[in-house]
Amino acid sequence: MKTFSSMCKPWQRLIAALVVGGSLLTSAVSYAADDVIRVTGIPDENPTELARKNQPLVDYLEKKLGKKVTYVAVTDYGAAVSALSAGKIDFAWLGGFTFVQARHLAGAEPLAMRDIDRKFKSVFIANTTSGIEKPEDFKGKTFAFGSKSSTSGHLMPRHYLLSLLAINPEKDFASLPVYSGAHDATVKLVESGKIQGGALNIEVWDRMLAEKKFDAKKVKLVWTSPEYVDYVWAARKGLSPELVAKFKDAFLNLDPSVPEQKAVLELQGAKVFVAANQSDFDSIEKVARDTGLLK
Amino acid sequence: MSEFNRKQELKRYLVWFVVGLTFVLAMEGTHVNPGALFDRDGIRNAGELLSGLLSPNLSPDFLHRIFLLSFESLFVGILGTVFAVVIGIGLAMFAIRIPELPDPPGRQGRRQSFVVATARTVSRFTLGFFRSIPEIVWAYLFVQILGLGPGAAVLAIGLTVGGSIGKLYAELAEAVDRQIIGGLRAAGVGRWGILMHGILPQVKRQWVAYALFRMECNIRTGTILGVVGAGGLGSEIALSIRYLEFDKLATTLIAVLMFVIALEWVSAYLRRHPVKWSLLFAAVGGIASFAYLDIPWMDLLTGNWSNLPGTTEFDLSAEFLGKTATLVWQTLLMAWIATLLAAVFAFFLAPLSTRSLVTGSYLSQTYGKRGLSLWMSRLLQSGSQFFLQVTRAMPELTLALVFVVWVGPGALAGILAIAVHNIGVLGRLYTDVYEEVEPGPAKAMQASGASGLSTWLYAVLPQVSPRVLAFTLYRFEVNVRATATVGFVGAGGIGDSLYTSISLFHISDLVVLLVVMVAVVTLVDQVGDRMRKRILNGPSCEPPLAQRLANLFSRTSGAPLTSPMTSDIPKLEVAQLCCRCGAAPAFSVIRPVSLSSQGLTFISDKFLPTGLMVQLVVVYPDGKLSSVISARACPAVSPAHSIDSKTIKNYLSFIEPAPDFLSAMIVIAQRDAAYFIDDSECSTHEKNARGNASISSQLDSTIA
Repeated sequence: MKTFSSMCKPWQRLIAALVVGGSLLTSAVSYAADDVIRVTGIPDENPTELARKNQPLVDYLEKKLGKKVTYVAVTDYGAAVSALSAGKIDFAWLGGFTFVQARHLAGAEPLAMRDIDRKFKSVFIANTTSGIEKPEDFKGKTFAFGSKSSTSGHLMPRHYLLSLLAINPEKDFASLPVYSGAHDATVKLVESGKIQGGALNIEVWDRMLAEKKFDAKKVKLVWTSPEYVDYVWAARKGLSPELVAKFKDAFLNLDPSVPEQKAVLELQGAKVFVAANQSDFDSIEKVARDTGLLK
Repeated sequence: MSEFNRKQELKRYLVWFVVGLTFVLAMEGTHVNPGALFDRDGIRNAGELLSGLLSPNLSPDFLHRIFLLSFESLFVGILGTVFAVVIGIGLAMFAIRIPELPDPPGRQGRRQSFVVATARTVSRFTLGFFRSIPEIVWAYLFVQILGLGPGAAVLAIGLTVGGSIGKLYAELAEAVDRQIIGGLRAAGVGRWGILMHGILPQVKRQWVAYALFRMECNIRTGTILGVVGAGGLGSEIALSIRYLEFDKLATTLIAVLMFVIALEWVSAYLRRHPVKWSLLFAAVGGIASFAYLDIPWMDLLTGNWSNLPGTTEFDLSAEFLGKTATLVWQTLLMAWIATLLAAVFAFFLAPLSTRSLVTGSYLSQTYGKRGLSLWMSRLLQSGSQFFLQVTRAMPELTLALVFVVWVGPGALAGILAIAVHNIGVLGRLYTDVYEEVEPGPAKAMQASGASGLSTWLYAVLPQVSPRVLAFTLYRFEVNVRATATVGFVGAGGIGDSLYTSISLFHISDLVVLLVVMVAVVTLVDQVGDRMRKRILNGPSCEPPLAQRLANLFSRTSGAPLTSPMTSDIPKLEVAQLCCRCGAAPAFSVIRPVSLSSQGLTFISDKFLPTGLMVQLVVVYPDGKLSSVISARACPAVSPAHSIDSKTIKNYLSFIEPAPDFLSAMIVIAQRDAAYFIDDSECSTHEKNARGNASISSQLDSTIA
């Protein structure tokens, strides 16, 4: 009796092996369920904080949408944007700049934003031993932004440094600016004295101040920026309009009088959610293009 | 000391001086300030890091999390290696130029050979392309298709490592024994048949060994790719450093260390056992990884490839290109500094961790260390082995994150990270080289009472130095690629721009940067390949151009050519000719005087008894050994001249004067003739004439 191997030429056996291997490979594939809604948020704070903030929200959304909702944690702003553009995430909580990126790359749609997001601000902080008293003093000191893709931690502070304070971050600091990666990390860097000054999101600053997350003797507020538009819940392109409308309504209908929904609002740092429009982000897009961060 | 000797010496010092100078210039070029390691801030940062690292976070929640993530990293490494091997072998099969396979004649043959040649070029280019792009860039691109999670890391490792595995596999396959292939060819076996039956059986052990070695590296890589959202321990490392939580960092690093070391045991075990065990391990590991890692593989086929951002406009302005050139230059300088730093440390640590150099002795009946000093040596040995182990287990990116905290972001952090990791890698490679040293010369020296240090300097180092140099150059090539990645965490070089262009979606910049990087990496590889070949094979054995022209001229004029066998006065280096007489070296201080096809005259410290059987081994300058040949000792050549122990001449007559053995000795002798013989008494010609004369007379008398 002829064996399989004696019947075939070597190259035929190789191909046979590849075909068998390939079919095994594809049969082992696990299919992603379509009725799961995947949401994420830019990692502007540490993951335990984000998980605490988002769990009640996920529960609320599951109830409202009647589908399973999973929160996918990411550690990088860019990863959140690319996952949304690639359709790996359905809804994402993005900053102004990351939303503009997602819109530019894959036509993301803005849904809802918090009341405070329409008049958001950045704060400029300094270590108390640095000798920084007024915003002009940042010149010649070391300075930390948040993530490179952050609106309130990088884009807008950079814009105001250039336009209002005439400080070029690439030339006028003691060394090239440091990118801490997140707002609370910026505070930690300035508190440790490794970096003398920094800029971050006012909401995170206020909360860290209230919860005494850092030593107030070591870090002080130097300057608060003018207002701009920031965070927004965005949907990827290609979702069914009913689902998008349901998701948007879930936010707009959050009612402070219902205890569970009040908890969601409080954790999100909002009194109420309002509808967001594409045109809200045109000014951010212009700033992003002017500073060269959006190409 | 002769004039030529001094010139050689001077040249060697000049080379070291130039290497040192490039180090200083490169330090200037990158504007780094090593003082940042130990200035006020540096010491404080180091203290914070250290105190955190000494008190790891052992809360059950965190440990549970780290445990799960460790497994994810482990499986990413295993599955990535399986992919890499599949990709590597798949492409290598086409990239191999089979030796002894002339293209078949005829019209159809021409078409076939054209197809084969095209496939070879394409697959070689693909391998080079995969290899030149760092894992972390691939990972970022695959996040677009597979989404967040370990799938991107698996594919990234598969591609980058597949490229380098494929290249090495093809090189190994081209270096196989040609006789077998010639036989198959003569029997009319085609290309695939030769690959399957002529080449594969010869290389499979080497292939498996290298795959296992790469798997260790891949699991380390798997622990860090999480930085870009590709699963595993990486995100935990990045976060613990971002929030200055060094206790968590300590736990994570200990986890990395533990399973990397455990894996090293597994792979050492597999390397000692038949290939099928490794295949079984790969199969089981691959299936387990498939089951454990939840990766949406179908997305690779059905996924939206159009999601990959495209671009048609490229920024080719002089400003951007100038900036890119500066970054590339900085990257090269950083890699060079780091390699030199690591080489210096590894050079001194490797002998300390080599068993035979520290605790043991090359002699079988040891007169070496005993008692306390033996234990001290053992302690020193395990200490340096542990240090090399730990530094090797830490991936460059992890170290870069740590050094960014210590000295702040910038080129210095990157240099230190690459240097520290490479101390471990180079130390391991150097140690392996040291362990493979031919013990003969060292035995001879130790038998004559030489100390450990001088044994190392004169008997071991000359054997290993070419391979040590070659490995250092090889690591420089690898480090150029590694330096391009440390920028992802803010440690300088071109990686910083790569990261910016990726995270801000500046696709056109990314394309330009990647093209430049692939070009630079390919160039460095090519130059490195040539230099390594030159170092390992020694200077070309062909005579210089003038000599060749002269030969040509003399040939045309009909003058007889001199055969190497009759060359008159080859001289042998002490450490490179080693003699074994029975169990222990019977004599030492060998100073060769002359060599002919009949025998060898040399000076030793005592008379050899007549008729003693001696084994001769030739150690090539690159440390390889030639075959052993037996020789019979004859009485001293001229007892009248052998008054003190330094001038006792002995003569060994070859029993089987194998031609290749002799020519190898002659080549060595000629190459090293310049500076190992120090004979001020008489000119070489006189001595040679005398030596030959006495040999023949001696031979006559022996035969009589």
